[in-house]
Amino acid sequence: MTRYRPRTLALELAMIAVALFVGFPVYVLVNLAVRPTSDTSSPLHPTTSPTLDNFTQAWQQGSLGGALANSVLVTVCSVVIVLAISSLAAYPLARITARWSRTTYLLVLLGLVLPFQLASLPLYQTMRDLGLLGTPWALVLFYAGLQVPFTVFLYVGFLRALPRDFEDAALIDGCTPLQGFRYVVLPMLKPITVTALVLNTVAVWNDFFTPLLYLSGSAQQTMPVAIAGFVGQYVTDWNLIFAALVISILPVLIVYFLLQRSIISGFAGGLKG
Amino acid sequence: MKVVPARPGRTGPPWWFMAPALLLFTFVVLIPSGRGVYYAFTDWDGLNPDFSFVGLGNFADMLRDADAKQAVWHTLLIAVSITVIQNGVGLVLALGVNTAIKSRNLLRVLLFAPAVVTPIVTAYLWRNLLGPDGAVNSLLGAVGLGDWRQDWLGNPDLALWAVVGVIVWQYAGYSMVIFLAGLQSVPQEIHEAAAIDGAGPVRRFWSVTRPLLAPAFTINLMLSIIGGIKLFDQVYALTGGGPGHATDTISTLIYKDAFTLGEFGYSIALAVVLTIIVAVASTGQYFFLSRNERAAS
Amino acid sequence: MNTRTPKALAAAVTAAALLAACSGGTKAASDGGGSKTLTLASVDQGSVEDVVKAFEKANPGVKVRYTTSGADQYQQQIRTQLSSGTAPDVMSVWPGNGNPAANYVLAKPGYLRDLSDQPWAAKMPDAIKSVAQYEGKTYNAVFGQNGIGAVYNEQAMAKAGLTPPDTWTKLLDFCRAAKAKGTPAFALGNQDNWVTQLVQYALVATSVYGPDRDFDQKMQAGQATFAKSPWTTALDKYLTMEKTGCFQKNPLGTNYEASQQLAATGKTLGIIQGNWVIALLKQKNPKGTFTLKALPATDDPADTLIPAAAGAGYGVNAKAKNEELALKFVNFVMSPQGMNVFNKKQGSLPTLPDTGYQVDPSLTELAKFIETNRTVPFMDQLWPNPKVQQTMLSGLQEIFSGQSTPKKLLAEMDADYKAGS
Repeated sequence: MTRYRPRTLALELAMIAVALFVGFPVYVLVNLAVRPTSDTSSPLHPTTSPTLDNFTQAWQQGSLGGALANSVLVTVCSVVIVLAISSLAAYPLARITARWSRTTYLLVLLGLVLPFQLASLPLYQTMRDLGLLGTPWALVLFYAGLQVPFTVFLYVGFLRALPRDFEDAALIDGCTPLQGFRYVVLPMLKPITVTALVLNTVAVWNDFFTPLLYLSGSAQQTMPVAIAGFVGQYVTDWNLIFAALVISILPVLIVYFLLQRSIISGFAGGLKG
Repeated sequence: MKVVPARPGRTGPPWWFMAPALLLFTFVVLIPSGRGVYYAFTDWDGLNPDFSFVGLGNFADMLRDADAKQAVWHTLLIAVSITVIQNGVGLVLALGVNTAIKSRNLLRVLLFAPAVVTPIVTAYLWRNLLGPDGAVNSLLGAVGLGDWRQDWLGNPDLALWAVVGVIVWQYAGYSMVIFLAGLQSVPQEIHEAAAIDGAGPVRRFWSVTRPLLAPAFTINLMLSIIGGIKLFDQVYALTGGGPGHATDTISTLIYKDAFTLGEFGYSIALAVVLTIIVAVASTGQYFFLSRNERAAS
Repeated sequence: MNTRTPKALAAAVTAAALLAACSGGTKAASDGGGSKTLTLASVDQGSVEDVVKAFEKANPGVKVRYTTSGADQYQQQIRTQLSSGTAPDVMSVWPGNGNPAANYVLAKPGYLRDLSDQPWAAKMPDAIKSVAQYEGKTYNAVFGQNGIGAVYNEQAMAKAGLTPPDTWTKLLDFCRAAKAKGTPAFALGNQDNWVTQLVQYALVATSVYGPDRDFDQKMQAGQATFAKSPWTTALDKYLTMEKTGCFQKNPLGTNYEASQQLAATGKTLGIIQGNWVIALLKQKNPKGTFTLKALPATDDPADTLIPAAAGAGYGVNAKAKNEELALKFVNFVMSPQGMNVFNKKQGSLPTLPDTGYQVDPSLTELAKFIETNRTVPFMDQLWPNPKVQQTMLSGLQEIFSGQSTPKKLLAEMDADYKAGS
C-alpha cells in the first residue's frame, strides 16, 4: 500500500486525467484572468501574452484590499467561534444517551432543514434593533449561529464512531471535563475539525446576499460584494472580474492546502512511529 | 485529588458544554424562523405595511398552482440524482487520493477547487461551456462524437440533467473531502493486515473500509439530500428555472414569488412546504443510515 | 517543524484578525451618520460610480456611501430595507408598474418622497411623466430613455452586401438572403428570459399601437384583451421570423452574453436589442460600427413605431436621514452635467431637453423617432402586476421549445392581467 508500484502509477495517471477534466473550467477562469482585454480569441486558447495587469487593476478599482481584510476578519472570527462552540456541544450530544439529549440533537438538526428564507426577514430586523447593521459583527453573529447545525452534525457523526476508552481514562486520571475535552477528545477529532474548518470557511467566504444586505449603507464590503460591484448590467469586463475572482478564491485554497499537508504528515508520522 | 467516580465508563461530559452553541443557534435560527412562519398565513407583499391574515389560503392556492407541483417533482428528481451521483464520484475520488500516488496533495486541492468557487461564477462559466457553440460541443466534435452535440441548456428535456451535471462537477470534491476525513481515521495497519490475509482490494474495501466509513456516509448523504432539495444558486444562475419552467425548483419559485412577483406570504408558505419535504426525506434517511451505522460497527 | 509552522502561522493570523475585528467593529459603528454623508443604493453599475465622483467633486466635503448590485439582488435588498426602515436616502426606482421596485409599487405604501416640487419635474416630457408619477405626483428622477430595435453590424452588412429592411416583406427577404450567405440576420439570446420579450415588443409597437394608440387605456378599462388583439399577429410574426431563419440556431441555449458575441464579431448581421447593447458590442469589437434601426412589422414604413421608454431613475426615501443632500443628489442627476455623464456611459438618451447632449450617430434614428412622437412605452410598464410579464417571459421560452402555444400564452396573460394588482 505504501510502496509505489506500477499499479500505483496507472492509478496516478487515471487520477490526473480526472483532475484535468474537473480542473478544466478552473483553467478557463485563470486563462481569462491573465489575458489582456484586447485579446478576443477563444477562452480555450492559452493566452499568448499573459499579464498580471488585470490583477493590479482589479485590486485597485474594486478596492479589494479593504474587502479582503473584511472577508478574512468575518470568516476567521465566525469559523473559530462556530468550531469552538460546536465541537464542545457535540461532545455531550454524542455521549449522553438520555432522551432529552437526543431530542436536543434532533432540534439542532432541524436547523439543517429550515430554509433560510424563513428566518431572513425577522433576523434582519433583530440585527437592526441591536444596532449591528453595517458592522462585521452582524455577520459574525449570523454565521456563527447559522453554521452550528452543520458543524455539530459533522462532529457528532465522528464522535459516535470514536471509542470512549481514552476519554474514560482521562477522567480517571483526574482531568476536569474541560481538560479532558481539550487534551483528549479534541486531538482525536483533528481530521473532522480540518474538514469542518474548510467547509465552513467556503460557506462563509462565498456568501453574497447576507453581506450585501447587512453591510449596505456602510463603507464595509466583503469580497463577493466587491466583486459583484464589477459585474455591471451594462459594462462587463470579464477578464477583470475573473482576475478578481482568482484573488478571492486563492486564500481559501491556500488554507486548505496547508491544512491538508499538515494533517497528512501528522498522521503518517504518528503511524509509522 | 479528585474522587474517582464509581462507574467511570458512565460519566458523560457535562450538559452545559452545549449551552453556548444552543443559545446562538436559538437566537439566529430557531426564533427568527418561528417568527418567519407567521407570514405564511398572510397575504403580505413584502413591502406594504398593511396586510391581512388569510389562514390556510396560501396553502390552498398551492394545490391549484401547476408551477408549484412541477417544481416539487423537479426538486425531488434533482435531489435524488445528486445524492447518488455526487457521492459515488466523491467516494471514488477519495479512495483514489488516499493512496500512495505522488500527486495526492496537489490532486486533493485541484479536485476540491470547484467547491470553493462561488456558485454564481461556476454557473456563469458553465453557461458558456454548455452553449450551442461552447467548449463541450466543440470537444465532442473534436473527438468524433459530433452526433452527441446538444443544446444542453436550451432543450427542456436535457436542461435539468445539465444542472445535475454541473452540481456534481462542483461538489464531488466536497463529498471527497468528507470521505477523506473518514478514510484517515481508518488506520493503515488494518489495511495491511487484511492485505497480508490475502484479501483483494474490493474485499478489503467492503469488509474493512466501508464499515469505518459509515459516519462519513451518513454525513455526506444527509448533506447532499438536504442541499439538493434546497438547491437555489446554481439553478437560478444557470437556467433561471427555464426554458419556461423546465428546471424550476421549489427554491427558485420561492425566490421568484417573493421578490419578482411580490407575493411574500405565498412564498413563505412554499418555504414551509419545502421544510416539511426536507424534514421527511432527511429523517427517513437518517434513521435508515444510523441503523446501518450501528449494524456496521 | 514543517507541521508546526502553518499552525503557528494560523494562530498568529487568528489572533491578529480577532484583534482587528474588535477595533474594526467599533470604528464602523461610529462613522455611520454625519450631515455630510449620503447613502445610496443603485443598479447603475458602471455608470453611477462616475456620477458619484462628479457629485462629490461639485460638493466638497460630501461623502456618498453607495452599494451597487444587479437588478435581481437589488429588488430583494431594497424591499427588505424599506419594510425594515433601513433603506438608504436615495435608491434606484424603475418607472411605471410591473416591477417589484417600480415607481407605483414603492410610492403606493408611501416609501418615496414627493419630488413634484423639484425644478426638473415640470420639464419632463409627457411620455416620461406618465411613468415617473403616481397619482399625479412625481416620485422618480428618470434621467435616461432607451429604445428597442434592430442593431446592425455595419461591417458585416457591407460584407454581405445587404441593407437594413424597412418593411415586413423586405425583412423576411433580408433574413433569407442573410441565411443563404451563412450569416443569419439576428442573434437571439433567449436563454436569459428577459431577452425573449424584446422582439415581441418591437413587433407589438407597430402591430398593436400603430392602429390603436389608446390600447393601454382599453386594456385598463377591460375593453380589450391580449388574445383578441393584434398581440396575436405580433406573436405570429415573431414565430414566422424564427421559421424563416432570421435567428441563429438554438436561441434557447444562447445567452445574452453569447448573443452579443455573435453580433459583435459578424457571425450574425445584427441583433434585436435595446440601445444599451451598443456599448457592449463596441467593447467586444472596438473596430465595429453598430447602428440601431426600427424593426418593421408592416409593409408601410410610415407605420413603424419604436418601443422606447424611461430607464431606471432615482427616488428619495420618504424617511431619508439626510433629505437635503438626497434632494441635492437627484437634482444633480437631473442637471445637464449628471444627465450627460449617465447617458454617455449607458449609451442612452437624456429625458430632458436642452442638455447639450451629443447624440451618438448610432442612435440618430431612435432620437428622430422620439422627437416625432413615434414611440410607445415598453408594454409592461403599464401592466397592473409583475405576473403578466413573468408569464410572458417563461411562456415565450415554452413556445420556442414546443411546450406551449401562442393561444395558450395570451390566454394566460389575460388571466393574470385581470387578476389586477
